[in-house]
Amino acid sequence: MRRFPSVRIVRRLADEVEYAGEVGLLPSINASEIAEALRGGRRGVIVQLVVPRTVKCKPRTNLTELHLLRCLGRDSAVLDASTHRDLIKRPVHSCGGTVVPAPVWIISSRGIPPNRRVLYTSQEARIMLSAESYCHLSLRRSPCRLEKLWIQNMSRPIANLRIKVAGLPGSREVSVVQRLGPFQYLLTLIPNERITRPISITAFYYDPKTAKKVELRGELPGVEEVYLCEDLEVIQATVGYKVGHPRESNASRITVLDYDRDHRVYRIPVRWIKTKGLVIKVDRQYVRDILGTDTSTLWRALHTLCHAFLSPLPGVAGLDARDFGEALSMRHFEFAVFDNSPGGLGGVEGVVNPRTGVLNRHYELRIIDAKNCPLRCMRACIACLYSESCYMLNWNLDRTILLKLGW
Amino acid sequence: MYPTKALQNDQASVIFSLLWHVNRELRHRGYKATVTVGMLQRYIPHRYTALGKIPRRCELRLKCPHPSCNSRMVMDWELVRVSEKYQVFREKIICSRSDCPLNTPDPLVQEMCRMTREAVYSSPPDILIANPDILNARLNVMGAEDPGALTILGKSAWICPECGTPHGYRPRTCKVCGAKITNIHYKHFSYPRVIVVDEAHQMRGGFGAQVSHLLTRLEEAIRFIKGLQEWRPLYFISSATLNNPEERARELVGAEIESVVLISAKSTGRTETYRVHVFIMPKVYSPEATVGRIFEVIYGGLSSIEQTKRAQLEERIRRVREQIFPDFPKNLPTVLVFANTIAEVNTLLGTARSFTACCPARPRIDGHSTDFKAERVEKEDGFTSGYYHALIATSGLEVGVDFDRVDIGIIYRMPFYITDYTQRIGRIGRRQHCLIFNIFMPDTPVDYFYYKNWKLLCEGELRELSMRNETYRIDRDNVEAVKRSAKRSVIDYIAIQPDAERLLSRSASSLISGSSILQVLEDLLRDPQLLEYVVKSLRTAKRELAKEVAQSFANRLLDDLWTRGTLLRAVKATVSGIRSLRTIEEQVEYDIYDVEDRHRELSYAFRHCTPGQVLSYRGVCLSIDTIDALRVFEYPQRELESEEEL
Repeated sequence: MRRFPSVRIVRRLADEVEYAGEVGLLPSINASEIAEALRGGRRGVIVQLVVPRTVKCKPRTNLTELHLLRCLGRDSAVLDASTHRDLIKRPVHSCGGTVVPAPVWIISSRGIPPNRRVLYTSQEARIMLSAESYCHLSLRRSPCRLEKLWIQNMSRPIANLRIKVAGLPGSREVSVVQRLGPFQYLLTLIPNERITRPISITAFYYDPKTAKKVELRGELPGVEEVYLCEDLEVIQATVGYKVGHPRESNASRITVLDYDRDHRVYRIPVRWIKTKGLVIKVDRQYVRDILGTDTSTLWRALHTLCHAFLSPLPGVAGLDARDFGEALSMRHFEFAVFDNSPGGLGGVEGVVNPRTGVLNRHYELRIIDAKNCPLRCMRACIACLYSESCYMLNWNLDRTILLKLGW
Repeated sequence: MYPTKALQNDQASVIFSLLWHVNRELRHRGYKATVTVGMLQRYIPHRYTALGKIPRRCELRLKCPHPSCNSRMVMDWELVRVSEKYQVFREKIICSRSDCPLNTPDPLVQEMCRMTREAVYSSPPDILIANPDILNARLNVMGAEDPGALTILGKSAWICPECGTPHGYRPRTCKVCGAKITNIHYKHFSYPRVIVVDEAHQMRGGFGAQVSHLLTRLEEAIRFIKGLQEWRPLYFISSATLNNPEERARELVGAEIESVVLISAKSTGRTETYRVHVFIMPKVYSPEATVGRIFEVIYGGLSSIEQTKRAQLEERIRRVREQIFPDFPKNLPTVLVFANTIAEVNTLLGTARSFTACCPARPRIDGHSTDFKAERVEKEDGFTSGYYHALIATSGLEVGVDFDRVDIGIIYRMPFYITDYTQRIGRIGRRQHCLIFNIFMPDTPVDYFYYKNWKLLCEGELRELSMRNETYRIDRDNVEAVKRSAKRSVIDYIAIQPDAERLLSRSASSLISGSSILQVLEDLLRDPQLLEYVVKSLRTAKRELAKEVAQSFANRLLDDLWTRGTLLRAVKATVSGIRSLRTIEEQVEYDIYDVEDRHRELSYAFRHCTPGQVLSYRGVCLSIDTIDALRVFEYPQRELESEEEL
């Protein structure tokens, strides 16, 4: 068995990365560099697709400062998790007070033009500042050790956040915004995982020679062909992440890529599996003629068609919704629904008659029925098109598209 | 059989307490029989340890059944023998409270409990509390005790009189403690006649299909061992949220629908309790801050209210509180929060603690997720006993674990399925009226749907109807499940043979009853009886597929026998992909600053391992520093770098 992804799937991944650059999910320059390297281009850029084995986590790294903790006890002490490792496992201070993460200032894209909103891990630019760094920058004093950090009045926690710096008299208010170089940093009271949101891209490849064409008894306008692929390659890659205040939208966040500028190496964590799936080719011209050429509408159409196949699958196959995955390809105007496990789970195989190659009639009826919602919802809901296994959180689904396509 | 270890632990306590009283009554009435109970799961200890290693006193999940005491039972150890490799101990189950009558070993408790592996194997209990994974492990010879441990299915064995280790063949001395073993130590055992599958709605999807095969594999193994022909056990399939229960039961045990009898739950006469639902979709505050504010108000803070209106509102809240919680602040309300992810639990933990820091009544709040590993047991106990006032948990706590004293529940983000929601609210207000805050994320379509259709959440009849539409079924004919189970069934077939221990552990060239092991195995694995066994054990319509896979797997084992030396090594080398009933996804280790490590599936890890990404752990935050690669594919110069692959 081959132990590395085929050239075709890597090229497909290149296509998807390039597309992500075109639609603004990734900086276009980086997207095209990654795509070219994946296609074998020799411009000196190397892309490493990494399957992780061990991930090391620290409270403080070159990029982040999450090491400070604040005690909720009476002394409001500021503690350093780098030196008090036991607090990570048992966040209770010696005074008996519970310990919670101290506020941090998160990098923001304010004042940065969209095309400059990218950082590389090798730049070692800080994507968040601790309260200590904040004091150091705002007071222009080094070293700047925090003695206390507390919220004076919980009615307005941010406005009432106070710090006490060693060697300085009295307590100080803090500012929500802090500058460092070209960047502004915004205060968040309790850091959480939503500060960094991964950018993941899925690509799939099937060999048309080995894929079995699946017969449909009825007609699904817009669907060109359906294939059962027993050797479907799926690669999921996290190209980078978007960093920003937890309440900031993705569009206004800064993209961080794991890129070594000196050696021109991109490192991209991946999950690569070979599984079984249905690949559905969509008639691009037909859909365009009906829905127009707007990219976002076409994407929504593809996503909706995909959910028409995905949502009824668990019920018919007898598996959990989480056992399935989906992948869309705008470039090739096709999508795949697959068993989300290496080697498959028997889900997709359960809806195609292996002897005749005909789609299970019950499943086909459920697909056709996707246009009807038992709750008569406006666009999509849990009763019709939503699926627990959707990577896009069920956004941009619209069953009226199916009606427009003539389902 | 329970689907998870948490459930096993939780229910064991109830069963233990019940049996203690039953046995006391039996003795009181002059009966000599004792109904015994045992527990089998991954963390059940052995009676022996390596030399120099003293086993710790271990706290059991059993509560002291004595009417005047409600403390935990503990297991103490008494050294009985030291061999060349091991020290052998004998367990004593006592109450942890020093002034309890059961603090000294009570003969009844010792007789009725089997809380070590050897205790279970040497004398299988009348009631064995197990999970599917441990039973699969025993059938597929995954542990050092196998295949001798199949005494639990009625297989005869030589039992060491000192440590209780079962032996599949007659050794001169015990392989663990070196005690002499003679023919009088050859024991015959009975087999399980009733199989109870609790929380059956959890047996769904791929896991459900494989558990359904496991049940019929167990049956077939028992039939083979005991020479039974048409026997089938009596099954009890139980769940509070199972749609189309007859059909699910039929699928799970591979029975005819006519043989399934539906027994509906009857009212137990419990006082009717009310759940008051509050629905909040915060648009200005963040959802976690909203939860923080709820916590603040529950525990006596009211800081978010404008100063001028505070006194008036405080008075109103005080009056309501006096009615609902008359002992406040002496007895604080208990709050159970459910979140969908570990990250959410950690975020809420930090927020709730921050917001309640200023409350005069200082509540103790903790988390319950896989981050807390074995400490979860302590958290559950602490919450039950009243030490913790609030617990923030993931779905791991939503099934079966019964807390009688939850006053307020918070459902933070909606689960996708209404069944899961029903389970969550089922943990809240079991004995008294309660308040449930439903917090919706404004930017999640699923939450938005439930917010709009809020009646689905709070009206029992609508919930029932909705659950019926949530189709999950068990497909015994699932191709992949049939393939995997067929392979497992081949190993079962070897494990249940009378000479299994020798067949598995001796080299292929050694002799057994005048023939070489290889010859015996060839006869065994190429016998058509094997395929018949596999077909019977799977009860699937895909008989030909099962036969084909079983034969090719058996051939592979025979081929590997030469290179691996023994059949056991060949089995271990080939079962890696079929070990787990739940997943075959690769696991990635997260090293939490050398303090702790946790494992996550690759499907999660590939999205959360880029340097600089934030990762929460038990309420604090860390950041990804470096990653070690299992494999690296490099482009354009593609190379393969992997210690394991090369």
